[in-house]
Amino acid sequence: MPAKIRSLDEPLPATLYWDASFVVNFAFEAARYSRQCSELLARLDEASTISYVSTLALDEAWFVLLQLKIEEDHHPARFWDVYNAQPEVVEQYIDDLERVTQQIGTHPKVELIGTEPLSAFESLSHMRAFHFLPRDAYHLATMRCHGIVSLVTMDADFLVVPGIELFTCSPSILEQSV
Amino acid sequence: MVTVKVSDQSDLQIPRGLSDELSLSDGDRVELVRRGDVVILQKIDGAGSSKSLRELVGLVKSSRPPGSVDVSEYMNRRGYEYLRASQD
Repeated sequence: MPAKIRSLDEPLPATLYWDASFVVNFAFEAARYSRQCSELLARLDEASTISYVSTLALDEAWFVLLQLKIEEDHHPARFWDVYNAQPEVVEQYIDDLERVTQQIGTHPKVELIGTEPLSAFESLSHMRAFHFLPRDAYHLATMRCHGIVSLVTMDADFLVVPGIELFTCSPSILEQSV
Repeated sequence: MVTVKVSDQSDLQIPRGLSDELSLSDGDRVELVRRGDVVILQKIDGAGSSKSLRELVGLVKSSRPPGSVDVSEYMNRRGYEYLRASQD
């Protein structure tokens, strides 16, 4: 396994990239890994670790949170059916997204970062090397652009990347480390 | 647009119109956070306590039971931009 797998209980790195799956798991009240992610946030409070959240991760997290809330409030309709019929449905959820973004973006231990123009070319090379689709390739390029080698995620796609360490509480990923 | 004036005082003076717009009044305590070219002016609550990252937990409420939603089902492996096509 090229990437090193770490449980959320292991010693924390100096810098940590937050994947969208982590953001959604702590931000959404009913998420499966809410408790584990909450405990990691408590550890990060005590640690000197600086966390990084990219605009890519926010984009993904916003979209997933929108899906979760719209499907919850319009059960059993699917997200796209609701949205296509009534695009203005998103309005009532923007306050929630704004609250999440403001809390993340203004916390002194969290840096909000964007993508750099040159990351486009590095992303393409990651697509070649790891057969990533564009979003994961951009995440990796953004991490590398900021010198970050550790990420917290529930996404196994990053396991193929050598030289990074992947913090997770996903049982299906953790069982691959034994 | 406002013009910055630097002084030795620790107070931050802002035009009244801006204070109304930002819901700030005399005596409020604020913290300035820089993010690249963006300067964020964050109001500190009465206790002035430092923020905990745990305040981020559960900001988006749900009527479903705690721990019952597998978020990964919503994070399509091929990227969310393909979801529209996959659900059509």
